[in-house]
Amino acid sequence: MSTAATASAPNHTQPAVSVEHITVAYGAQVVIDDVSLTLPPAQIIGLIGPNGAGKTTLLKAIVGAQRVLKGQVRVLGQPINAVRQRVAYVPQRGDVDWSFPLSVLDVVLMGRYGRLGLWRRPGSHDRELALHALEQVRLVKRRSCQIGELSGGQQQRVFLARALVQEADLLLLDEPFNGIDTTTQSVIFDLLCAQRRLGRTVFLSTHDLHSVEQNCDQLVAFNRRVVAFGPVDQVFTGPVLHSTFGSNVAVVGEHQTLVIRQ
Amino acid sequence: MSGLFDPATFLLPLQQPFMQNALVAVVLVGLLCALIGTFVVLRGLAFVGEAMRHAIFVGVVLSFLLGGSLLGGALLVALLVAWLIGVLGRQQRIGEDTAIGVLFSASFALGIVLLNFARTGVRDLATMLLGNVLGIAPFDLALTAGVVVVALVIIGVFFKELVLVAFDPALALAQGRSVVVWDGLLLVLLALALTTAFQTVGNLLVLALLLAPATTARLLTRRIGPMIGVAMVVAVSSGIVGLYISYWRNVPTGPTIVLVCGAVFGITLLCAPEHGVMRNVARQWRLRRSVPPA
Repeated sequence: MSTAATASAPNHTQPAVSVEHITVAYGAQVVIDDVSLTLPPAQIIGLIGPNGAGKTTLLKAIVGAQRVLKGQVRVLGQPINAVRQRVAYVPQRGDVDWSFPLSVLDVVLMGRYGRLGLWRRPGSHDRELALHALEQVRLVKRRSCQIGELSGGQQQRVFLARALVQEADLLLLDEPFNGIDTTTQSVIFDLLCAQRRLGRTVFLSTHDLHSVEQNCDQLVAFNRRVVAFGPVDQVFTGPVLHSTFGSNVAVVGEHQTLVIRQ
Repeated sequence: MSGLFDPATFLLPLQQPFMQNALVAVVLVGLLCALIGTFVVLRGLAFVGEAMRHAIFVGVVLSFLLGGSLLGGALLVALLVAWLIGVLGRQQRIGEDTAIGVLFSASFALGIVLLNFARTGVRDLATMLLGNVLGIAPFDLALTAGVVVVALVIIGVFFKELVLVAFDPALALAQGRSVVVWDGLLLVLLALALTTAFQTVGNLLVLALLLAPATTARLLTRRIGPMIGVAMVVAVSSGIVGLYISYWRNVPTGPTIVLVCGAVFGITLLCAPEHGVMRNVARQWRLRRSVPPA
């Protein structure tokens, strides 16, 4: 990684994210109910919960893309507006229109827009970083393709590359493993582990329980509130999964889980 | 009438001042509609545009009744409407499209009722609905040119913001950009385009000029820059071709231009090399042949 990354090495003493008693509602419907959560730095933390649990809303609230009714969110020890450039956000792949007339490189360069501000355009330094990120996700040969020509897994890697060029200290990923191939999954986890080695924090939502069991340091079991939070072996237990997923999950044996319905 | 390959065929009509003005108007409006239409298509604002042109009609009628510049009056109302749509868009309880649909159809009706207060009602109604590019005033031509310059500058300067918000509003929000502000800017540009173009192709047909060239270009290109370029070529050439056809055959100009635009879109939809209907049919046919019968 570049020297800029080391220069802004994250402070290890303060939490990556600290959420205090936040409530989020769409109209009259409460989707996040009085949630408090403190995420330690330099770890990969999984956010698990059924569909409609409010995982996306929680990520958006942290990144400041969702208004919070009550409570306080601090990121890297500060209000989100002070640290936006140090936070990278990867929305769900299905949220955007992939037939959009953009090349792979165009999309990755969007990760630099935050640093460029209102008036500057991406320059050669930004292009270099973008190409480097595309190398990391093994898509540099496809940089000129229209994004719709890529497979689902490749599209997800483009999104990850876009987050990497931001050189952020906190990465928030919404369902990065939704409908992707196993190659992409291992490429993504390798890169996320590399980010962790740089002292960066990764917080990702998923309902693919197997991938998080193997690759995350800590888990947040979430369903409108925090059901459990801690090391994977403590959260990945029958009772916790039952109260998170309700009757949609059946637990077989001590550590074998079978999700019946999402 | 001289032959098609005789330069005089094209130059003679231009000796008349009204044709010169019309030609300039058609080129300017084509450039504007292609540029803004591209973003309208990419951001999915076709329905909002349709609603907005209904409302602009009231502005046109009002300024006609009060004797001001039609373009100036329409522009004021259009900006007001852009603001109103922005506000309505945030009221999530009423479906946005429902609210917009009701409000702006009603405003169109209001325009027609108001027009009854003018003595020459029916003929002016036809002009407003179908456009009158051959009678465009020099002041309106200058205003149109001004709007084109403004749109070019705004889109040139804020290109990356407009593209980002159209493609991935969630990332834009996460980067601390206000989607409401950038959508608002796009709505204002849309209002400018609709207002400026209504004299050329008329209030009824203006949306076609905004959407057809941009959609045609989308079928043919893979990046936004080329998409804008192709849309401009389609819009301007359709405008010029339509203008000449209407001069030679003595048919209304606005509808002719829109017909040419529509024809170009239709042909492209059928024949586009990558996304065309014929290409897709051929692909499926080949696929079916390659699968052995069960």
